[in-house]
Amino acid sequence: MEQVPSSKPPPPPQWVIDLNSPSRPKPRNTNIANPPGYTEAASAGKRSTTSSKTPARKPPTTAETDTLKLKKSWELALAPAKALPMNAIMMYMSGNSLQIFSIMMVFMLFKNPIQGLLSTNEVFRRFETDGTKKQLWLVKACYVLMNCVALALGVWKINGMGLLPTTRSDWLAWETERVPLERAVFAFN
Amino acid sequence: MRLWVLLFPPSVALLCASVVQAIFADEAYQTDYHLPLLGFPQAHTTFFHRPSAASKASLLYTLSDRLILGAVNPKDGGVVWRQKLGNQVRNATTSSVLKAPEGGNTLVSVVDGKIQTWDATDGRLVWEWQNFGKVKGIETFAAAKEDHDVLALSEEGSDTVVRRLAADNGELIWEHRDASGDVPYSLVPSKDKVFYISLHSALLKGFRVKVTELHESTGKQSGQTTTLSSEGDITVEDRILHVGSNSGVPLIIWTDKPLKTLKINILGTKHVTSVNIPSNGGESAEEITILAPRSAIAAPHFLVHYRAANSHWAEVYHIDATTGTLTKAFGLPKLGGKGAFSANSQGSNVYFSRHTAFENTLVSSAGPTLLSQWNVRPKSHGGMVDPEDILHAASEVLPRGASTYAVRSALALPSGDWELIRNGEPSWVRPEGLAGVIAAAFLEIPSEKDLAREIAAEGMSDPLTAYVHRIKRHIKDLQYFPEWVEALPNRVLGSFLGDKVQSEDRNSRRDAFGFHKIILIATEHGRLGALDTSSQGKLMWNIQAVTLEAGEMWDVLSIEAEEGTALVRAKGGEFLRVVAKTGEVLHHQSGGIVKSLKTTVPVLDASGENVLIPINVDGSVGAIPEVDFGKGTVVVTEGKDGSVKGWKLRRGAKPDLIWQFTPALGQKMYSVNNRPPHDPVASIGKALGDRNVLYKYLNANLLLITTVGAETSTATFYVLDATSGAVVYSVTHPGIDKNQPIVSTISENWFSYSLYSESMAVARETTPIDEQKLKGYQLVVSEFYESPHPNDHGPLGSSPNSSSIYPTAVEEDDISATTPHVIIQTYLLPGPISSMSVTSTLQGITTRSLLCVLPELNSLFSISRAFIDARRPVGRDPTAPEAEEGLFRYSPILDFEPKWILSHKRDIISLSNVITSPSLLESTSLVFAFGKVDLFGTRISPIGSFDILGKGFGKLQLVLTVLVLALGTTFVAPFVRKKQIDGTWKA
Repeated sequence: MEQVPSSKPPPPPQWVIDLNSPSRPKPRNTNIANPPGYTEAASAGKRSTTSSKTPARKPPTTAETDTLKLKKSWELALAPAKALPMNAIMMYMSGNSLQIFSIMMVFMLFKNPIQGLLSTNEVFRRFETDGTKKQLWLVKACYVLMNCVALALGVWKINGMGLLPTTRSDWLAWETERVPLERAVFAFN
Repeated sequence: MRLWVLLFPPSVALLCASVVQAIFADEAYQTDYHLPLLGFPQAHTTFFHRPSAASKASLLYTLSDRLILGAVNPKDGGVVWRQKLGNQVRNATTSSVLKAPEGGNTLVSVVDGKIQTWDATDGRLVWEWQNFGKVKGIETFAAAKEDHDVLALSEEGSDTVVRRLAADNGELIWEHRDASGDVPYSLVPSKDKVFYISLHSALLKGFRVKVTELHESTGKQSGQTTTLSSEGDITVEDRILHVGSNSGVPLIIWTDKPLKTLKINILGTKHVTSVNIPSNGGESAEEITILAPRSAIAAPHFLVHYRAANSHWAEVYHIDATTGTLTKAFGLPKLGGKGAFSANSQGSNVYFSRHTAFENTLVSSAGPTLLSQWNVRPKSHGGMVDPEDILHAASEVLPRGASTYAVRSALALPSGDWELIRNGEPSWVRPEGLAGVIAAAFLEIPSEKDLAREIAAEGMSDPLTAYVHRIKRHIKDLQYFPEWVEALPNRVLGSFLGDKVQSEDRNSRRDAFGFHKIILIATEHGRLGALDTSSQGKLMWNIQAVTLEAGEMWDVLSIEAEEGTALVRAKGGEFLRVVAKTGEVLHHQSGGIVKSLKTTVPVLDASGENVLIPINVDGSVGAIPEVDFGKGTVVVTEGKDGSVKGWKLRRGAKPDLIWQFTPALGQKMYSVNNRPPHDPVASIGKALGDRNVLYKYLNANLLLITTVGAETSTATFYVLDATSGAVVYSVTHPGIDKNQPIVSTISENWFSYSLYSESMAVARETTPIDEQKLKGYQLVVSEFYESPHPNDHGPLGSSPNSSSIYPTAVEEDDISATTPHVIIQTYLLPGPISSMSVTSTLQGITTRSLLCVLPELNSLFSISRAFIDARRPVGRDPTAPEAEEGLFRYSPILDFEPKWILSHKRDIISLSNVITSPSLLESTSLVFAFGKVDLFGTRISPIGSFDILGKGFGKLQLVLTVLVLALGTTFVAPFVRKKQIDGTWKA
């Protein structure tokens, strides 16, 4: 029984506790009495007990954190897809006229996926470990795909607004009149 | 937009289009100008007259040679009212008479057989009377104090009829019919008797004057018929110089053929007094005029005015009212040049005023002493009117005290000007000689410093010399700097407060917007004039360009602008080059040197030089100079027989007739139109609502020919390719009215015409009543497209060239492939259109408007092409893409929307042509309308002036706002800065 307490790691020194949970700055005016039921010592004691409990949790293994990170990265990769229905509804509602709101919305619709695509690596860097590296490319690919879908929504929108030069009339200005090979001079009256 | 359009489809286009079409109230009378003319006043129908017994001031009335009855305010020369009395203008057989009973408030006019009485104050029609005969003379007869019955002498077949018509409603009071077969001549009421004079043919030759006396209240013959033996003298009616009555002495005066004697008879007596006409200083009279006052109560004195080749003189005669003896009172001395006299009376006193090129004198009929004398020239109008002969004069004499008189006279000058002189002081001039404009053209104001040329010169030379040249140019420009600085405050102020004062200097320069141009007009009397578009159409100059024989009309074919000058081409190869700004004639080549020559046309040859090609009267092309014209130049001429011919030009050789268009049997050529010379096409296709393209059929050589079948009452419109002569499209209208105007115009890829016709839609079962209902004034718009399918570029595909004479392989396979796809729409109009043309803008981006003259409303009207689009959906509402395109549901009736009337309140008489010219602003087109009488000009923005700030733009407000904001920012800035710094410290 003597062994039991000795197997427990010794409690951390007071300065560690202080460092981990810095005490609140003391109110300048100490004359004010604490409200009834509040004891300073109790809260301090409680904090010390909880903080003393934390190290009790078993630290996760590398495999566990890797799974966790992968899960988290999947969540991130699918985030643009989750925003799609909302965006689609917004775009449908804003109409196809060229107004400041619809133009701003379309701008945002393009800005976010493009920004996402450009920062693909940064977004997933914190999940990148030796263990996750192999599976993460699939996540990234999914993320890129989702952003592309969001972009496609944007393209669909500007197409609806008639901003894409896909029709014949968009190129009409570059077509020139046929030059007649003959000319007529009118001498009437 | 789409949603909105879906919600309000029909209203959109209507809203957009109607808003921009209107003329705003503050634009009226600012951008438009109008020269209300009357035509040249006739001597016997021009007089001063009090419009009613109560009025103090008199107006100047005239019935002009163009049959316009008008009242002019003698104070400023402004038109008080005008009425157009006839449709035929300057018809030799048309005689017109205007009478104004003294003390009455109506005027009586006769044109041909129609008697009309007018309210003298406001020009409203009181009543009119017409019978099939021709009215030879009218007189007024005082029935009551203010009511003046009208006596009319008319010739109805072989009968002479005298009628008395009631003053207030024109009802017949009595009628006297004379079936003797004599030619009625004139009518003289005198006290309670009415004499009518007819000419009885003598046995051998000449006429005897037959005078019949009627009783005024019953119309029964009261006295005897007297016949005077005048057959030796009167062989034509013109020998009778005067018929009239003053103070109960009715007179007839005639002369013999060599103008040697005057014969005077007091009506009702047999005695004829002969007076020998003396030759004055060796010159014998060539023309004699008798002047007597209009008033019935004036003394029976009259003046005989003798006109010789280069001088004139007069004699005054008195008649004793009781004994009827004639005495010569005195003579007025001979003066050089042609002058005019006018007779006037105040109570029984008679005054004669004499007008010559240099002086104005007044005598009383009692004696030869000059009551007043004024020198008129050369102070007249600051030299604007040169001293010239006076054709006739009307004057008003008012005695001011015992020995002073106020005289104002309206003088008709040979130049066509009508000038008012008050006591020798020139008061105003009306340019009545400008009536009858037959051709007009817009001329650019020549720029003084030719910047473009200088810059081009710099571009050509090597860099160093170009640099030196440029420095020199800038140093040279410095001389204008002080002026520019001096003018700067005024300019800045002017831009805020609205520029009202325009300096002379500015008037002679171009403006930034290209609104300032010169309009050159040519009249049928051989006059040229220039109007300034920027200063309300002010007349800049006005000259007699060519002298014409009496009754001859100047036939101007075209006016071309050439660097500050204008080239006027007339019939017979005549041409005239004038300086646009001053009217100085630089060169005049009279016509008729080569008899068969009709005109010459300039044709650009291969090197870019203009070569004159002679065109003969029969429509053939004369000898061609030795120049190269390049491939396929076709000259289109109109032959004498109503055919249209195409001639192919070849270097040095005789031109070949390559095609000829002759109207079908029974049809006659009505008109030929081609696309205007300046007709730019901004886009070669029409973008549809679904963003596809319908390609336009564009052919610069299109020709629109209208033929009318006289017996079948049909009108056929042919669209030809003028190089090959191929008929591209034709349409025939049945049941037209040939007496109604048929007008047409062609532009871009569409043409339109207006006529009175039956409906074309006779395929369905219609009863005769329905057919009658379907008759009306129609406006038909036809649009040409290359293909009925969108995005189809027609049979030529993407070929960069097109040829009508050498068709491509594709066309040879399918002959019908060259014809365009035509979309037609017909609109019913409430009235006729007498002239049709199209607005022109610099690049042709602005939707064109159709400019129409409405003869029934006396106005100029513009219809936007958006309203008469041939693709408007019929019988259904437009689909969303169609609505986006601006199309709205077709409705067959096109009302003359008052907002579309460019002339707004103005009453413009007898317009026949409208010309347009682009300004430097794409939105705006300059418009000028002219015709037999009036001139009208304005500018029009068919889809709104989108490229210029409107009048409602508050420059002052903008500047003030900016200033207040700037001030506010400077005040507030320190506070904000302090607050920000404080905030940083507090955090």
